[in-house]
Amino acid sequence: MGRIISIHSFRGGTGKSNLTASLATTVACAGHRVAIVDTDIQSPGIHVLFGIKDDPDRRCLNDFLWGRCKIEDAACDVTDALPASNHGSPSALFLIPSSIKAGDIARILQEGYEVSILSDGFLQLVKALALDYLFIDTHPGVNEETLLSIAISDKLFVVLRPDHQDFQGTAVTVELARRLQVAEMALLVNKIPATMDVPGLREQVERVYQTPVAGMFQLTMELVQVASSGVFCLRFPSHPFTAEVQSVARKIMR
Amino acid sequence: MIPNRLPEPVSLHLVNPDTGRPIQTWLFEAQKSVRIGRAEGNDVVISDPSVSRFHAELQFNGVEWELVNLGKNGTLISSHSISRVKIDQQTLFRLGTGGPLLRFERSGEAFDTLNTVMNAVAPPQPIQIDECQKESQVRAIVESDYFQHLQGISSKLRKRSSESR
Repeated sequence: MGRIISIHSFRGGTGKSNLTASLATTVACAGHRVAIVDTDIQSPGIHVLFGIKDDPDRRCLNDFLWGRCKIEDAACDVTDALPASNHGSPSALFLIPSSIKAGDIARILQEGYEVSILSDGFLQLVKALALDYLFIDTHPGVNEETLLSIAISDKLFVVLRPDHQDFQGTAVTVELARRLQVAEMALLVNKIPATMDVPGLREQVERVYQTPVAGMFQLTMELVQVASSGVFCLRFPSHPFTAEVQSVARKIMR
Repeated sequence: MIPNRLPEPVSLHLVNPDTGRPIQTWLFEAQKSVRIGRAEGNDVVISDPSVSRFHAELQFNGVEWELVNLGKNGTLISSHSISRVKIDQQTLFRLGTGGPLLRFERSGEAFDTLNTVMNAVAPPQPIQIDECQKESQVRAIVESDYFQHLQGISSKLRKRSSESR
């Protein structure tokens, strides 16, 4: 299949990386070959959820962008993170992390890179790893990489919180995605206070943005306590947050 | 002689610990025992690392219900581990420390949330978009060379993407 799914938010702190990790993991657990690319080169973080530490011998996305390796050489196989019941099944999960070395981050910000290399890299990755799904965890805000991810995606999820700081920027992002004629787009509303009227919020978001809401995620203390030390849905498979992740994953796999 | 009457219907709710609302409910009629655990074959199957394959059992002794712990992670009521205890018309218990929270109820009693304060549902903040500002921001990006270039190639990019699969 090789579907490309981008997860984006206008602002940071919306929980995008946690949602990306949970969604990708859930889709992998359903028996698919899945990869996640952390294109948040300025502030990479999703590697933390999979316990990937700094290793001088490990290749990362930066190495690919600098022409030092093929993109598939930068893929970490994190299939072992999936539950034991998935081992031996077709399930596979890979992560292409961005470098966490301050020097690498500074260099890439200073020198930049040819953004079009990324689109070639995504397609090469799908082919080389025989992926069913490629999840792109984007940097918050609008820049060349995020616009490219939107342009190439089969499905775009825009994550927002029910917070005034997110509302305006999300409207801009949704409009840009429409102008780029993204194939499918949906919103994920995250960090909803427990006391908020969830159906009322969904109705309002769908009406204002004229875009379907694929998932509504309540703020949960367990997720705060996990503090990105692992993939939440693996730690709490019966939690309502996980149930909502599974609902969104089913929409992806439809 | 031990009374041998059948129990009235009871319900078990898997409860959201943040909101107190039920996530899932099981109803049992005229059933003298209800087995709870991770393994298939239980009456209530909960997939959670804290839950043992056979974790707990609700048993009706002809007069009243008892909760029996079977699991190595323990079964707790008000943070205290129990082994066998009589339970009331409404009882909250947890499967393992930090594990799933369950609420047992005799029939005829409406589910009540844990905390009446949690019952209060706040309306969402109204979402107001400054359309002029939005159009201005969108225009600034759309008129950039890069966006124009991307618009031109986006359909080709997607076509390449679908062809390469």
